[in-house]
Amino acid sequence: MSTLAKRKVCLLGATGVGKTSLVLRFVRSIFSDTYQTTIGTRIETKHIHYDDHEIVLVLWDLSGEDEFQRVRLSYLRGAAGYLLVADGTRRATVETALALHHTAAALLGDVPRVLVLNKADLRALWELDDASERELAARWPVFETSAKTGAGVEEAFRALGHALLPR
Amino acid sequence: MSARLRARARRRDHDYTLDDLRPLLVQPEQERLKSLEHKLETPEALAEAIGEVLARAAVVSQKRGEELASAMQPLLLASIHDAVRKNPELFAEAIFPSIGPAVRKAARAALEALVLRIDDMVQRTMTLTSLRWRIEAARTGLPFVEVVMRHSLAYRVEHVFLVHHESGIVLQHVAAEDVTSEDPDQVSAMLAAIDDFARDAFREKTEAGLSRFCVGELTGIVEHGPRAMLVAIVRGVASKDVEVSLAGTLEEIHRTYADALSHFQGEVAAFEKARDALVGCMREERIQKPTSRRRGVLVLAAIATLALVGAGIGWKTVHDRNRRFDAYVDALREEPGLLVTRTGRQEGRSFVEGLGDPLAKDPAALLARHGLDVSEVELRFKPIYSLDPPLTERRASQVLRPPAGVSLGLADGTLRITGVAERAWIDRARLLATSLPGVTALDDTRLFEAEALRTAKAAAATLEGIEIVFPRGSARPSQAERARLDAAARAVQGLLDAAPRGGLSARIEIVGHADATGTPERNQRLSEERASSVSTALGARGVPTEPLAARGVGDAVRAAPKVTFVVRLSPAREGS
Repeated sequence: MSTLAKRKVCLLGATGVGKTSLVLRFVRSIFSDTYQTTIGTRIETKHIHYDDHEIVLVLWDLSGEDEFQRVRLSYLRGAAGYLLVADGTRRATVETALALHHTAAALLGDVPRVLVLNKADLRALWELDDASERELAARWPVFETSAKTGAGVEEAFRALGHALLPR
Repeated sequence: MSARLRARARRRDHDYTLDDLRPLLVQPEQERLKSLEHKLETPEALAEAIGEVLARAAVVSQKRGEELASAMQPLLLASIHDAVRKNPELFAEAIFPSIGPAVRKAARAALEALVLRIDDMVQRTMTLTSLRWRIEAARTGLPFVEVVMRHSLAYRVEHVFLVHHESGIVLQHVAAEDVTSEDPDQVSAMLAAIDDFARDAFREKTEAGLSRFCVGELTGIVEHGPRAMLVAIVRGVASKDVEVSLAGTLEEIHRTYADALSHFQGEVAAFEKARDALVGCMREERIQKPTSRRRGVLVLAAIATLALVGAGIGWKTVHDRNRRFDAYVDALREEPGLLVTRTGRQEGRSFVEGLGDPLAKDPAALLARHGLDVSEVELRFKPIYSLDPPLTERRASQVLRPPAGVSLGLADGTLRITGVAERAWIDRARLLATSLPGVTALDDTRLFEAEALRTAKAAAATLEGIEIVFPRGSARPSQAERARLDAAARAVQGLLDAAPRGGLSARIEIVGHADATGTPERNQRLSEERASSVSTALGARGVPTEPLAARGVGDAVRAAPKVTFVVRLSPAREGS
């Protein structure tokens, strides 16, 4: 028997890491980009099928964290999981992702999450070395993605969706 | 030894004490006392005992009076206060399903009072629309404000979303049949985000969130519950019924799905049956009068029709008057000698301003022809000399006063006078004509003198009265006929002179005759010779012979040796 479940998922990361670009190729959004700059989030939905199960990820693409703006914590409420996005070419964005993880974990508890290292197409220019990446991978599922080529994105969402399937 | 000591000594002797006897005497009572002691001194037992009778005691106490209630009240209040302070959400959640009806009841009472106040206030205002609604209120017996509200109620609920409060996930969604809906999950999540955003942005800490938003004709009405919210998207102006139905439905959903809501993880299948409840919120109300008010509608329609007819008649009256006035002004503009410079309406009367030749038609005389009265139109004309040809002609006629038989005509500034008039009139006309305004030349080629006409006719009569006598058989007149020949010559000359001036052309025939003697051929020849002889004699006397025609008739007309004259006068041909 097939089941349908819906999960609220937040996309978190520093400004400019490519969160929106990452999801735009794979999701359908009825809202314009301006929502993100005005109220701080954009909503997208992504349907993923696993055998008999269908899961709808309601993605809250929160505006990026930087020195000028903070993520609205109230938007995290009720999230079943989150996707942390960092830019491999900027090590500082990994730090931001870690800080956001701590914030989210404090609010949501130990919920499923994945770390996405974006801009895999610029792998040669990465500031993040393999050792650091291995260290991260020991703590979370880590995916190398490229919003530009689409590589790894689907896998990252499927992995998170799978972790959110009804038990 | 005292008596007491003696008694003690006796007891020892028998070895029985009161204590030994007591069990034998009062053991059952002792056991009951112990049991009671146990119950009183052991909290559990005491609680059990009181618990058994507490309910009955409360009932008995209630029957006796309010002693128990009064005693319990401070305790209960303190307890409730403490519970609310420690866990307000729990308390709110507990009373949520029942508080709605209570609040609505109170709100309804307050609203009715408010309606009466508004009614009173609105009664003081007066507009055209309010007048119409006031009539309806009087007719139906409803409070005026209710009629006003009823006219404003026209809406349709197009969407209802049941949204999980915390995650913004849609638990259930229904939409009107012909309404296209975007991804409900995205819409509801965005609504939740906006709700959060508004609260964060304005630091609003209360539980109440976004309750209403408007976009064009659409209104979003949000009803919040502890675990879920209902969002209705309404096209038009929603009545309070929508909010009431949302509140009732949300309470029902919280009652029915209490567990599913409190443990919600994203499994929306549990809320499949909530769809029916949401469908109950899909209300609509249209601006249509119930059929029972048809009579009233007909009355209104009749009033409206009468008003329309009245307005139509009024409009037609004004329109007709304007149309007649316009036609009148057009006629004035067409009229020679009149120049309309301005028209309009002033103080309820139409007016026409302009310039008018006194010889032109009187503008006032034209009013009646267009169905207008002097009282309706004020005429302000100043006199001028008009150079319009008909006016110039009229003026020429007025100045020259042509006699009978004379007519005037003007073409391209040339006044043409035709007919026969006395010489004196002709001379005066020739003098005055070209001095008339608008007359640049005079054409009098067809103007003839009456005197010349008379002279020509007299000469013709004279000529026809003359007979030239010839000796028998001769074609030469005798000497005695000279005087007659002279007279004939004068008559012909006079005739030829006067006829053209009198507008006549004269044809003179000289007719020769012969007596009956001799052969007809001879007589014919002789008569022709005699006519020719007279013609020659006249020519010899200076008379132009071209207009003369000589012919002989033998003895057929008058059998006598004579020559007679026949004059034929006819009107001169134009151009001759």
